[in-house]
Amino acid sequence: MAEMEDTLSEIRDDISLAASRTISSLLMVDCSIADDWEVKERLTGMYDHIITLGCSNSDYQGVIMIAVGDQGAHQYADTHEEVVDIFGEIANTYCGMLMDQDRVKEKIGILSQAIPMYAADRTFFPRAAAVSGSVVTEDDVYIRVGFAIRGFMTLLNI
Amino acid sequence: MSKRVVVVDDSKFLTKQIKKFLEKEMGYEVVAIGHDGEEAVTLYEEHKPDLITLDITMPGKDGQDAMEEIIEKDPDAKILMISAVRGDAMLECMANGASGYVEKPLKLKDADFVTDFKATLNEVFE
Repeated sequence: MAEMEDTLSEIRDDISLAASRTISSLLMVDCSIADDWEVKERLTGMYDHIITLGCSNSDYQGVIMIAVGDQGAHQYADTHEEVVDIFGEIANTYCGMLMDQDRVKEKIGILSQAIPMYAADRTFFPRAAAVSGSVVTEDDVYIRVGFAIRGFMTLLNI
Repeated sequence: MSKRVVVVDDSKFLTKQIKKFLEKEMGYEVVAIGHDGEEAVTLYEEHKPDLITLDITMPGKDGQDAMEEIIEKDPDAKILMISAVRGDAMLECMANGASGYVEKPLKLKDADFVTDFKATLNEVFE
């Protein structure tokens, strides 16, 4: 776990840059990276809207989180369905953008991605080091982005 | 006569962007929009378009499976994959019959990206 936290610390800037570029491209707005990006023991948090997206390869399994407050979400979406659609697409694209970062690819490899899921208001991904922080759009909307990762674990039914 | 296109992506937000780009920038006619692989196959058979764009990661039948099914039925089908999936997916799609592959995000405000996107679309029909 500590080793994974060290790895994430090394690539934290790549992870935040990918987040900013993804959101900027999809929402077609200028974005900045907030100074709250940090490596944590696990990915947790409560927000109005959370999208999670699972990803894995033979060595690692991870979760991407995209979270936003209700007011911010509705700057870009009129309905709940649109919130899920737009921020789900951000999660989907962010996974690909992470793999475009050479240092991320070198440390973790290529992760295959699942379908984005709406996770109501709370996220929790245990036994996984995480890096998270905010991207701020030109409309002053704070979008919380998280990436948690751990060595591949197989769950067995006993 | 303008090219007739079917656009398939599970994100409605993105299909709107793709449709707008294809119609305004390329002069194509988007004749149908779908949101999963099953719809892609059905819409292709129904409309017989000049081009179909496919996302890969979609619920149910994914874009790669849909692509293979369309190619099996129509080996001359023009299929452009538009996806965030990295790694071997692009090579697999191209080896199995895709005419082109564009990586998301679609940076439609970036002049270089738009130029490349247009070039890829033109290459599909060469």
